[in-house]
Amino acid sequence: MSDAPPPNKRQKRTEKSDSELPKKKFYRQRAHANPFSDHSLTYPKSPKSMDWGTLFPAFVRKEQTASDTSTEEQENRRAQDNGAGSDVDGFAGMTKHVEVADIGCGYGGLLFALSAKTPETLILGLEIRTSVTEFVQEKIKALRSQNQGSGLYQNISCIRANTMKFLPNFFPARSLSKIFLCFPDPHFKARKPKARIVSGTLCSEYAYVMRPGGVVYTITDVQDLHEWMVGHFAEHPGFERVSEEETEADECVAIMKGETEEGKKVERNGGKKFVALFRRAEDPPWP
Amino acid sequence: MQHPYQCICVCHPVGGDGSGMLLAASGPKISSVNLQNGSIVSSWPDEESSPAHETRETSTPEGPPGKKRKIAQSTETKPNVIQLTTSHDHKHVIAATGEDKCIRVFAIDPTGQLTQLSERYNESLLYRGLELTMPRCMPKRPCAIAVTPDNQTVILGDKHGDVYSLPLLPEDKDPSQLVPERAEAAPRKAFVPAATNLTVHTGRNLKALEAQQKQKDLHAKTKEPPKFESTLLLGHVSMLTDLLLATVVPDEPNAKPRNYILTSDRDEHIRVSRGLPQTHVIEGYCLGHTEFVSKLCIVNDRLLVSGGGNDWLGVWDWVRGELEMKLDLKDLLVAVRQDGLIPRTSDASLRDASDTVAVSGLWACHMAHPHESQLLIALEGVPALFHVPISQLVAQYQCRPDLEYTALPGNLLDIAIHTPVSATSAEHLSSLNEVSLIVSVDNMHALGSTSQPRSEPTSQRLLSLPLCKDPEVKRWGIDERSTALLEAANSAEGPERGGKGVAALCYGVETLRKRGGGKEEEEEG
Repeated sequence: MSDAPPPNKRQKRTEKSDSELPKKKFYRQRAHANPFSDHSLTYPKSPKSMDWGTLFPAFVRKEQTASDTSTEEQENRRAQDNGAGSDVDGFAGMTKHVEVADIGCGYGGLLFALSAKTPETLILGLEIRTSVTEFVQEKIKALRSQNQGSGLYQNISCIRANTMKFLPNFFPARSLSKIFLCFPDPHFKARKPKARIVSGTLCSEYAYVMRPGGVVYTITDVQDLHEWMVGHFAEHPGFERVSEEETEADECVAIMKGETEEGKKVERNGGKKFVALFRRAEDPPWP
Repeated sequence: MQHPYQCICVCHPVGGDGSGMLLAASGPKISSVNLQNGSIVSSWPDEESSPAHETRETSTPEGPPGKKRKIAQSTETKPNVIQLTTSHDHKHVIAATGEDKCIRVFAIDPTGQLTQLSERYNESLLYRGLELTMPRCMPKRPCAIAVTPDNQTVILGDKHGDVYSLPLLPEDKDPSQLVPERAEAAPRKAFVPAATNLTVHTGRNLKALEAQQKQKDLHAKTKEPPKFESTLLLGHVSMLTDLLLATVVPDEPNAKPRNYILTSDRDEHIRVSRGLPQTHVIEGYCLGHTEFVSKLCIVNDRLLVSGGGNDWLGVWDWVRGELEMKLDLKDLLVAVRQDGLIPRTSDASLRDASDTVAVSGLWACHMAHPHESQLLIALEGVPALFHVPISQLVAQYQCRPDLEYTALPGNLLDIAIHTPVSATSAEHLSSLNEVSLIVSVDNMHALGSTSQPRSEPTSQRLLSLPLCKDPEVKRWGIDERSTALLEAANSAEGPERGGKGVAALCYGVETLRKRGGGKEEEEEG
């Protein structure tokens, strides 16, 4: 159950130039990870200590370098900016804040498709498997280098993370407008319901990082898991299911169905795709 | 050798004389001690009667077969008490036991007599005409319990990260309802594998699926629901370490008080959720620890102190989620060692252990004069009580807080704050001046060690530390006269236990630390 692939693969990965696309065959990894394990993750101790500038260099505020500004100055600047830049706590020094999270982004199919669709929206892919994360990071690097003139692919980035434990370490309250949960690990074993990416208690965390009105997108080819996810989001007072017509009309749904690596695979194998969207409701007034 | 008292608390039973009772758990045994005369009033479980319920099956059948689980050593071994608390009205005592993962509720009468409200079928108790309910076994080991201010509900956090609410006293149901007959249970849904050949593709998975589909009478095994009322309130995907209930009156005019649940976990989080009935709303997090958080303590209204595997305590404005200050513990721990309290040793493992800090207890000790109120701190495996004035734990306090320590003759395990209560509340205020601490220390392990046995074991397990009136003297001092009052409890025969079991029961905090090298935080000043 080692995280690391054999070293020969790792060597082959480095035998390419920066602008060359990485080859997926060198980054294959077992499709499961234990979300309860400690792994050896790096994560910020709070959203305020997250270094977004390295992930999205094109969206760093020009007039300053991140290192030599005190929080006080940053706060002043934020006040002056008055909405022009990112006003979300935890994204100081950025012109925009991350609004979309692709949780379990895998090989990044959705990220790359969304990047062109919404070039001004910052999208972060989060993936728990080391090699797969590296693949996406390499691909982003290569694509950015290939598209220097047009500035494409600057709005996407990918990090390794266990979001089931550390989502609030990355994202401040009410900062996300979209969360994608595409073809998550179904965890067939009935004994481990808590290992699934959706559970009643995790819905509270998704609600916390989302702004009211934001939407969680789910897609899976496993009917049981679909029913499970629908059941938990529907039961959670913080979410309401988006109507079928609205779901069909959402352009992200088409991308999610057609552009994700897993979506293409299901297509090839003639499997079914189950889609469900949930809108983050306003918090109820205090009793 | 007598087992140390791993949990202690003070209770003032309704109708009692106000001197209070000490409840002390030693291994699986809970004793109540009259603090007026030092006599042991009652113990649980009763030695002579060994109720059949004690050996009942602890784990409900669950999940698909195949998982090997550790069976609690032998059925004869009684489960150890891991949590002990009282309801706010001091009518009930709630204990959590480890091996069987149960919550047990006791009634405490004015004389300090403990009666477990949980042995419905125990004839010997029935004739006393007590209200009786079953011990409630949770799916996972309970690790923190709290009682809501209205004394109606127990909030319980478990090792798997989930927080449940249970009624303190379950409704008196018909016995037949309590033990549902299996035969009458609704026929189970035929098992259909969740996977299909459209969702699994690799050779081995397909083979496994084929085998599943062939098996005709395979039933979907679902976890048997608990036989008592419980509601899942919130959960962490981590090990839950502590849980607090708090109430805050917002600044806005005419605002109603707001209830909160604060939870901490092994992954450095402190989560602030709304209280019942809106526990699904997360209000915020207090983030900043870089090691596990093991203890939370609200010292006043909006000030929260947190401790764990970092060598500092976090002081938070928890409503806003802001870290107000870090209280360094390392310097004082070094001083404790230099003062010779922890013997120097050549044992390398011991030295390593003493370099880390693991906060095992935090208590707010309120005095009549708020500026005298103190925060009490226990570090795992350290024979000293650390204390600091709460009034100095504010960001505006310019000087270094006066963190001091009182040396103890054994590693500090638990503290019970003893405030004798008089009949009227007016007198109650003045009696705050007579606050004293009852401190439980480890009589089996060497000072400063969580593994090394003592060369000369003692039976002294409980000490009384009144507040010194003399400002020149250290705040708390061991008082021989009042400690002598605890003689009966100190000399009481405890259960015989091997050293390893004791260490596991008394020293569980350091084990929360993640292995594989601690990453050092970058300081933010």
